[in-house]
Amino acid sequence: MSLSSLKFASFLSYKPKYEGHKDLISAIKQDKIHPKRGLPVSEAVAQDVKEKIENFKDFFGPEVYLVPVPKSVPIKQGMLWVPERIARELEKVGLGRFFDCLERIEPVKKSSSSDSKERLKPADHYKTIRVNPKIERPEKIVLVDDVITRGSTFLGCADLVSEAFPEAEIKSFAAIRAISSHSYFKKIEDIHIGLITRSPDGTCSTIYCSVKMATKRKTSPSSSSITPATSRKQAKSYFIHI
Amino acid sequence: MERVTLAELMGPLNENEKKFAPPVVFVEGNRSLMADGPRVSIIGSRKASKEGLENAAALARALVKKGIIVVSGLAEGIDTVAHKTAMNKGGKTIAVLGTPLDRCYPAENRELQDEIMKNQLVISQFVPLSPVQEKNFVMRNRTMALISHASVVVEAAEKSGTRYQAWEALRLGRPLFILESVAKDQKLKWPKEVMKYGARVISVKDVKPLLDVLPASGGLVSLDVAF
Repeated sequence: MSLSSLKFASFLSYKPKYEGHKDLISAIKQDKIHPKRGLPVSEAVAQDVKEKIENFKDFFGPEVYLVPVPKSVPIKQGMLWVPERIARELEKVGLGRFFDCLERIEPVKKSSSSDSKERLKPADHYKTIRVNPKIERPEKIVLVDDVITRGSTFLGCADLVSEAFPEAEIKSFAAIRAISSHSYFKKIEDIHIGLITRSPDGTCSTIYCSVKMATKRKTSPSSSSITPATSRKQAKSYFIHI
Repeated sequence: MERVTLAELMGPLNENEKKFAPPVVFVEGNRSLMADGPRVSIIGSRKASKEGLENAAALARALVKKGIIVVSGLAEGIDTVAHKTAMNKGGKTIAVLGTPLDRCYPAENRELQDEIMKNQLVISQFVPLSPVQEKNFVMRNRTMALISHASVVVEAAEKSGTRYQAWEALRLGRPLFILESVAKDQKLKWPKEVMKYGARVISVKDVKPLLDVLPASGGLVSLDVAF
């Protein structure tokens, strides 16, 4: 099944290939210990998401199944798999239930190192990932990844998961979002909620909204600058297309 | 000589990194060098070919030019060339030994080891005066993978100990590169296996793919202000 779009949330932002962000992305991709907080980055992200849950409340909750997105290559047992670390930490803070059902069976070229012409499509991921059968019937699934660029991996995984669990509502969450158009970058901690959309040629792009951070004191739903998008057309009116 | 934990040397370790990390290491030389820039291991065979030695030298030159610290194991062959080239080009190098600091293997690298101890940094996880065993070198290779932000295999035979570092780098989620000449060698099976799990092919003429995945510093500078 080919989904036309998928809702996503991300917590941090960075500019790919910008020297000042290389330590940050390296630390996230290796789940390093945050030097000031003394926690792995995955745990720090999960704690912060919980603290700022007002901005993510459509995404997380005890009933949500958290599905880590496979790496671009198969893994052997014991190899670092950062999306798995993030999903487990989100589970630990009560934001969902860890649900490991996707497995990469063939390597694909890494999205982050591909130039735009060779960039992978959701279909490339769809063909190289399999869903391991599970007896559960989740109603809400959030795909969890470390980095989102254009969302091809998420959309390929969502296609697979929607076939295996047709009743489930599927969304996606990434710890950090790559902002390729550097002029759109604002700051590292910058929550985005948006849509991954499929183009006619099978590639992906994202339309997103930078969220004005909600604080615990705010109680009215209108205090957040976003409302749920019911269609791409509606979304376009307040999302920025890049 | 100082006795320090790896956390003191390179910052706190996550659970994955702790798995094969030695509880303490012994260091001689300039400890602050660990924070001076990203660290890349150049690794390969002791009985290296002429092409392998040339590639090791070319790679070390390219890395030094970018301010990257060359890490290697002070063995003969690729390691020796990597250390010597780094220093000859005014760069920085770290030797990670399979022997205690008071021993040298091979013996003919005594002078090189002394020079690195004096002006650069030498690390060993083995207690001084302890016997040198075959397994030391496997343990040393894992430690090298851990202290390096990335590893590059210049040349390695089918049964080479270099493979241990390659697999450890992949386990840790550290970028692993193998030179084109290794990847194209039809007699070797291990390069195809590590490529299936994420190793990437690189040419000494174009190290940009390696530079792209390295942090900017030896520490986690921008993470401090990120969140």
